[in-house]
Amino acid sequence: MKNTYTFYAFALFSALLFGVFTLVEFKTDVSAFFFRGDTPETALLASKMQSGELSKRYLLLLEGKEDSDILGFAEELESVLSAILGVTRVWSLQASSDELEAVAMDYSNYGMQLFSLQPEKDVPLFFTQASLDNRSLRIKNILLSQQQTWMQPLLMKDPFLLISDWSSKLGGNNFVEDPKFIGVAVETSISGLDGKKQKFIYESINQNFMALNAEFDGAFSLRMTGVPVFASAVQQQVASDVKKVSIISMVLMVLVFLFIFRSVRGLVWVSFILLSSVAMASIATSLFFGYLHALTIAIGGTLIGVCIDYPIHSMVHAMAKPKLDPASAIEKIWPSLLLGGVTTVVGYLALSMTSHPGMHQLAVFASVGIGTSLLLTRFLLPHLMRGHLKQKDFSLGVRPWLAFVGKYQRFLKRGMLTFGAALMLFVLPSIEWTDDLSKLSPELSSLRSEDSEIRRKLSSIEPGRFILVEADSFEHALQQNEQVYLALSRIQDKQDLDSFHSLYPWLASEALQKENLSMFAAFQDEAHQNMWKKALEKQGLSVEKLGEPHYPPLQILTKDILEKSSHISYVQSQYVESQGKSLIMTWLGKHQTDVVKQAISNISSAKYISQKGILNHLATEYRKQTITMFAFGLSVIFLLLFVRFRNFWIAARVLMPAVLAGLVVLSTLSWLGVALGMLHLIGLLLVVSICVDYAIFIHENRAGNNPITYQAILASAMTTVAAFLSLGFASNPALQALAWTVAPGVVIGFVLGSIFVFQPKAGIEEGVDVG
Amino acid sequence: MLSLRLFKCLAFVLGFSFSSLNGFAASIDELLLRHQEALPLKLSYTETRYITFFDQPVLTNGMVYMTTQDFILLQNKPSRLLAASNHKRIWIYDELSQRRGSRSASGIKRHDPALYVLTQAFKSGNAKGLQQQFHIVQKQQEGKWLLFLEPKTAQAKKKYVRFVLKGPQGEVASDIQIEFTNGNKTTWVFNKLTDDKHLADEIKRLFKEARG
Repeated sequence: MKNTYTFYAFALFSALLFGVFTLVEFKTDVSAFFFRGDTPETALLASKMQSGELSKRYLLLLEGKEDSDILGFAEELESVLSAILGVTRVWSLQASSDELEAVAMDYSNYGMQLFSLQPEKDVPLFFTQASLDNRSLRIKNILLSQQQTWMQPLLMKDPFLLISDWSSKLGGNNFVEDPKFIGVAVETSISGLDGKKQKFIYESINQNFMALNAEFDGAFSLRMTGVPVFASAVQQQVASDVKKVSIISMVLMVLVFLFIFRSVRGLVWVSFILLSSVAMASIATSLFFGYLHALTIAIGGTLIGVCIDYPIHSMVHAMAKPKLDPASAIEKIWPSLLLGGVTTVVGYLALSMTSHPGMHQLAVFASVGIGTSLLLTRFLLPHLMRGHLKQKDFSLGVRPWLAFVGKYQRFLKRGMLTFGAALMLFVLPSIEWTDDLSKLSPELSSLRSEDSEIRRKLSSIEPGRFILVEADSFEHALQQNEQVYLALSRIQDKQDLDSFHSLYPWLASEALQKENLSMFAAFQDEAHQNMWKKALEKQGLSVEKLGEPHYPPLQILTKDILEKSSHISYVQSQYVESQGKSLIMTWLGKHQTDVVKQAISNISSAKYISQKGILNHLATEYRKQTITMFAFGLSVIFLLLFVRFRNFWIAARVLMPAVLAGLVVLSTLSWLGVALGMLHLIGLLLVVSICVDYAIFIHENRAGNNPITYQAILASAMTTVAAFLSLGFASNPALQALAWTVAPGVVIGFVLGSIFVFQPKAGIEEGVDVG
Repeated sequence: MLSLRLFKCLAFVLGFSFSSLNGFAASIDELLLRHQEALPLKLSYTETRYITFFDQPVLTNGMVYMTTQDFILLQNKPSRLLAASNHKRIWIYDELSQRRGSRSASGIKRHDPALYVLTQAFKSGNAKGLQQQFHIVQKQQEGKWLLFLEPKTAQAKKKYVRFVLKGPQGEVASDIQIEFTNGNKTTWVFNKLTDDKHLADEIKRLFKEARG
């Protein structure tokens, strides 16, 4: 019979393990866990971070020794990097003269259409004698310069060389003759935040560079940045953390378990329940959402602190009467376990009511995990324990503690209530929350400084700050974008803005293009043609060849035409169309925020966006929602306790230690200057969940024996603290936040549970051991 | 079996071909060697540019400095423009636009291999690269040697129609004519200057100016 249940356990575990490997779709993209936009700009940012162009690219800085052919090297490197699996596109940031020629040649078809943002003002000015004289002089100088070879064919299509009026705005300093360093962008098909998959690409880029550089006698150096580089570094750090935390937690858990129970068999039972619960939770969450996020396992995995309570508590109670059937011992405490489980699930369900996408997964994961742990404890554990219980004393020193609490309980209770009230009044209001998500990221200062140095060398653009135009149609968005262009040009003239990169003149609204054409048409009469001929004659230019401009059939430049051309790569990250909205971005160089905001203030559909600001705003919203929902969850837990005990004061007394423990931990961390954020709140929820369970166990004391109940609670508290303390050894600040919230919180909760809920009247029996 | 007559025919043809080839190669080598031996050189030049969009040819003039290592072109009129190159790099300074730029020799080799091998051939005396890039025809006319270079590669054919170099018998080139595919044409006429006492210093100064 015993063997049958062991077989059941083995079969169940094998089936769950098989389910994990076959059914669970893992995702490691951090942004999918943290972000979901509610406004167009946050939606844009969230979608771009999750899918996108902002995160999928590596930025390579190639530097060469003096006299090295860096353009040739970059060309060959681009070709070998393109062959890496997962790389979709590789291109040089500094367009070569060949590329510039190609852009100019294609855009010369649109010289007139894109001529000016204010055609009604600029076209009449263009057709004055002085202006035409200047233009013919400019054409002459170009024909006599180095550019003559490739500019000459342009004149056939664009006799006024109108493209020269705005071609510099196409990319400005991105076109370099022969640079000492060069930027290369590598775009991948994988989300940049998927550290595991990006690690392969990151290593392949390095290997390919080294192989090629060896052929060039090591003349070049490579520096790399981009979201995937950070993701790979985080991946390595997380892998190292997991290894470290796993080893430490395993050693600590085994030591604690052997110290308390002196039983390897007991450790196997509890491990089986924990692993089965996590496996079941993983399968259910993945089936429900279509994927399981790695962070859900990481944070949800800490639920072992809760799940472990049920089997340990049950084991200690079963050991109290080893001669009886363990099933009856567990049946006796089952209502307490169930209530504890339900209150914990309520806490997590409350958090799932926030808009934080990660919390939704966490709620399902926690509910299924806790449910599985409870069911296995209730229906399988007794059968596994049957016949293996031996009596052995393990008081864990609870008797002197209970005697102390019994003697001074009233005094301690008042003291703690006063202390709690003082914390509520003086410390709680002054708690400072930080919503800077970067503080939850691993310490990567060297990568960050490398990133800013590379970006400073390669681009004049300030990362993460831009102007966003949002409109119901793309045409309207283009028109608004043109207004932004004019506004930015004005402050650039006043030197309040270094540079900016707009979608114009890569693309202009149809309305503007038509207006330019109609203005030019109005001036193409004999009088103005004679003025032009006169200007050409002054410079010795051929009137015969240039005097009667014949533009090719004029066509409006549309988004489709641009997207079909190779030039789309220069601007494709500057616009997005989704859900009936068109969004256009203008990248900004060094600027004064207030001046830029002021400049676009009268353009209703334009907004100044700070990426970091949006993320922090999202984090603030999540945190506020979490606090609200946390309070709501506490109210529901209180209601459940009230329904169970049918007594307001008992319900309050059971909830009090958990709330006070959380309060003490938060206040202490705040007092120590720790920046408190989302992860501390999740830790706080764990503290409350665990401590409410303890308080229920103490209050109900279903064994009718306080020392046994306390031994059970202390045993599970020791394993919980050991598990969370091991998280404190991780270098990841998020894991540290959980560790230093939960571990002390559980200890304080246990102590406060004794003070507030302990009832000294219950009897005392001998402890037992399992073997 | 190959008949004796056919064998003699083949031998004649092959022999003729080889002797022609050898003779041709020797003359090119000789020509290039002559130029190399003449180095260092200081030349004044006049350039006449026939540009499609100008009614009249545009005249420029300046100086050329050439050593086995360096090549400098200094345009004095209509505006000052300086191009200085060694075997690794070329620096350009345009005084009119105040623009300065540089490019690696291998970059030029990649971008304009025809022009690169032409200058290298005259500096190094090696005809191999020249023969790879151009169909070469050599003629003599009115006591002058003429060298016709027509591009072989698609890249060069896109830009150039031909180069024609001309010089008195036994002397270095005095005229170079370049015809471009866009209809433009330029003719350079050189005059060897004997005032080369301070050539090394001058080259050094011009390099410094070009590099900035």
